Amino acid sequence: MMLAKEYKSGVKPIWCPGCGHFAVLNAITKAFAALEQAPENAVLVSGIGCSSRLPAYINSYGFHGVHGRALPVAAGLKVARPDLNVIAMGGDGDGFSIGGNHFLHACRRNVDIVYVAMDNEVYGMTKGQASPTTPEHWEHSKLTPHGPEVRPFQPCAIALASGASFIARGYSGDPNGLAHMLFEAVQHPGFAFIQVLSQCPTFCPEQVQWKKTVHLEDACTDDPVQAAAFLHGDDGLAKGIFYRKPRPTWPVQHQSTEPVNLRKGFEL
Amino acid sequence: MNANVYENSSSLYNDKWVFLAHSVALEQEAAERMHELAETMAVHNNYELHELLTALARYSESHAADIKALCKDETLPNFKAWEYSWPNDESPEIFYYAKVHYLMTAEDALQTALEVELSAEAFYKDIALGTANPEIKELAGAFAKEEQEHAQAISDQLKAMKTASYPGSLKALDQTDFDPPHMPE
Repeated sequence: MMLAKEYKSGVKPIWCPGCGHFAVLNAITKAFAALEQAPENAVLVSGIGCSSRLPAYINSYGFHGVHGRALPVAAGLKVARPDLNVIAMGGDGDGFSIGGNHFLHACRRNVDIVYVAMDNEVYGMTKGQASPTTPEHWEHSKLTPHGPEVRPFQPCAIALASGASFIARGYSGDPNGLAHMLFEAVQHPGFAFIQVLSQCPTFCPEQVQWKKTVHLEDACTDDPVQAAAFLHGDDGLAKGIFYRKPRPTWPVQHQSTEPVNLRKGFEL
Repeated sequence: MNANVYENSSSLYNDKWVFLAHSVALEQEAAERMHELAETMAVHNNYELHELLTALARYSESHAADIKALCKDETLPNFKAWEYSWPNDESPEIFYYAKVHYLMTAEDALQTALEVELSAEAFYKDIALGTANPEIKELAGAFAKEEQEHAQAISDQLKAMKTASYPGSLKALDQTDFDPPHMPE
């Protein structure tokens, strides 16, 4: 049995001190320790951004992919190797902007993977521009001096509308609670989405206040109508598992297991 | 999700091995977090904080070893991370990420170290007062005293730092950053 710290690779994170992504890294290692996860049977797939560096810091297989494309790579991998535990990850910019379309269809397909979106409401790697989840009146970027002036993207509500079968929100100030959530998500049969409120102390120092404002909600339901009502009235700072209802995963297992012989159809 | 197995039970107050498992985890988690922060500071070329945090981490490691020695050959309960009964989201002696900043100074780090030592002292004092088990009462009382001594040592270091006109905390420096992360766009 491995200890949580043994799931860390020897690569030292270059995140800023105080970055919430450290907590996500620790939560993953704690969840792996609890699951007794064999490192050779887990794969972490990411896109581009500060958070997408995470696979390098874990002692398992990893794939640091293309911007916004963590989910199609992860889904393809799971379809090809259903025996592996596949965890896709990235940030709010990566997942909900350039990767937004992949997010919708990953939820819809319900491939049996976990997707962790580390949401700090900002593009940190490129020095602090507004992202899809940036608050409407956030005025800290010179590119958007009056704030983005658009309503932030609602990841959990969109995940529900698109068909995700496990929807949760964690918080980097509570790595143990997040580890528990990941433990549940990995065991959920289907697409499990976790939005993690992960503070960026460098570009959004106001997020340290999340420690006081994030609150636990015992709102888990298997009723999508109830979940939708909760998520549309949510202040965005509730943590917990909000929706969990297993449904058939993709690809559908058909009775015939014989691979189709394409060559035969083209024989002269 | 932070509701844990023992949150509403009295095992921590009644079972010596559950109590000792918490005590070991408290020190180990504090040490691991401190090492993590120390490494991050080294990555960001802040070697003064790297050294300070490494020293604090070793302090916690040595305390964890002392507690493990008390357990002798007894195997402590193996809890999952979320099954511990901490008063808050994390163990009381841990540096919260929200307390850390890339501009933090040694004074800031010591101030936070002082807070977490006092928090650990309060944790043990609460158990010493609340338990009916004489063994746990004695152990928790002794651990609380040790944490109080650590807090006093850190407090003395802070005083010495202030007397020596150390540059001060991030707040005192008015968060002056001569290489700010917000680049002109």
